[in-house]
Amino acid sequence: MFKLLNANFYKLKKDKIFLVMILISFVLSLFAVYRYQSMVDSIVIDRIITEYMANYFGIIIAIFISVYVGKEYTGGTIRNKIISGHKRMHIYLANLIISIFAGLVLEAIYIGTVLLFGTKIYGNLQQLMSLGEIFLYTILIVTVYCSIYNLITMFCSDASIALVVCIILFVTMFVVNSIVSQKVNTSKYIVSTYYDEQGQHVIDKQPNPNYPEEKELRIYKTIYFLIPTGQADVVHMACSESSIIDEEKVNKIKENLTEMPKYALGLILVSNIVGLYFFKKQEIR
Amino acid sequence: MEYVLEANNIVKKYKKNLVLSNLNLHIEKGAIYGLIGKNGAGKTTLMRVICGLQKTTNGTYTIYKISSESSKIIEARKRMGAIIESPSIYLDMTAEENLKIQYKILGISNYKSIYDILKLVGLAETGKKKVKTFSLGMKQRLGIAIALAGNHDFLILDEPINGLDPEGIIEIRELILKLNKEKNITFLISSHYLDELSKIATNYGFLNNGQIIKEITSKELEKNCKRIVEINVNNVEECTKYLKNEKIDFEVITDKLINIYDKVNISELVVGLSNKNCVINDFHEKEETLEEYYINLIGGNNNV
Repeated sequence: MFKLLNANFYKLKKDKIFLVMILISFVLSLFAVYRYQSMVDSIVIDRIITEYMANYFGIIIAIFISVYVGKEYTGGTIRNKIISGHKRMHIYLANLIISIFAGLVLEAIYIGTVLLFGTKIYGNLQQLMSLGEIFLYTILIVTVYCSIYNLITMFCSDASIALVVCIILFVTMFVVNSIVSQKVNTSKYIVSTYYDEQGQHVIDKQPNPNYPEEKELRIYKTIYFLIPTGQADVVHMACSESSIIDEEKVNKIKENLTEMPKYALGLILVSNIVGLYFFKKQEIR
Repeated sequence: MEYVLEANNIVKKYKKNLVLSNLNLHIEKGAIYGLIGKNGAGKTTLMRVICGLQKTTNGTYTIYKISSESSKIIEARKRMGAIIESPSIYLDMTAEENLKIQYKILGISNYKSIYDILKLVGLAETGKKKVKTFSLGMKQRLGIAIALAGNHDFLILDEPINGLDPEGIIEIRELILKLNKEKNITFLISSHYLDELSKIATNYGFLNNGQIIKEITSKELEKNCKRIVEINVNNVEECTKYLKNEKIDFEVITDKLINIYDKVNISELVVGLSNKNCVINDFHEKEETLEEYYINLIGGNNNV
């Protein structure tokens, strides 16, 4: 497999789409840093760091994988690898590894640029998640996205079809997440504070009428943790809310951060086992 | 006899569609094996199966005596290169970069021989030109160069001259002959251009309805091909009477043209016809072409 990785890295180095994606990630990071300048008091840098993963990464890596890996099928170069005597499992895994590597490079460029220019404006990271933890979650989510898109590209066996399918999937997951996230992250109680007639500070805690029932919430949570847009949102929410001291929210975030990786790992495992199984049986044209 | 490839009762089905049906094939070392068959006969499918791109439904094949059922078949495939349908190349890269990738896939870390391969296929001077700007012939030659990387001694070429201009066809033909003679590379080539194939092939396999219906060497083919004597006469009626009388196999083509399929003594024929007041105005001796041989083999034009 080392030979295949060597060839893939060489190809990646020459790949124009990858260069374009690097440029886009860099521009997005600068845009994110300067976009929130007017809200410098209410925005934490953690939020900006994870915004790329939550909003843009899914589509950027979809384009990259469907074109980079898809071209192997469309151009027929995957045949050279099989005829040269490489095992199909190795070919599939080499493509996955190179996709994850490319995804991490894109993430690193974004996060690095934000840290470089953003810390001067927004200060250092907040306490809820360390940079190391953010990186670990990033690796996890990048792997989930790459596993799914790699599987789709293998099934489509055509760069343009894979591109359309991956983009449609991302948009669908993005929309689903925006609905589900709202439900999952709603507070159980609406907390309001006021001063009574005696001038005493009162905290009023009323049940939230929009809070879903237990069964409904479990379904929403499953969907939320199962889709990569939801998984990225879990991390993004944790980073966005890190300055809030509301105990219920903090507990919820911590609970989500513990639950989500189980689903993500499951998704990685299932998509790659399915991908490897079908790729082994696939009739290459 | 040393065979590079032997296929034994290969069956390939796509759902209910039977493409290869108990196919048997034998390719000797150093041969240029021409695989002939109409569209949909199963030529490309056979090549895909041999290259490991698709699995057989039944039957086995051996490459360098290693069975397709053995896990070592992967090692045997390392000795072969192939172009199936179109050359497998990266269009956004140069010819050299394409070869470099293939070298990396094969685990060759010394790139010195890249220039030699490019020179061999006539692409040494392409420099930084991207492959997407290459002509079809150049792409085809690059495909062959990639298939050659790693000192392969068995090449499978599926329709290598499809879409090429006459110059490109000559280039590929000469390249194949050069590689066969100088490097003793064995070829399995499918082509619709039978005339062109007949210029290079040393062996033929005729594929029809998923089966090899005949395997023959070019020398045997030469012997088997019928010689036809085409005569233009002034009196077809008298001529046919004479030929029937002499029990000579013939066919009337037009009111003046007759094809004679048996061996005839020309002097006797001329004298014999002259005695019947029939004069031969024109006379040609034709040899049955590969195309005609193939058509006769599969049962006439209706089957093409």
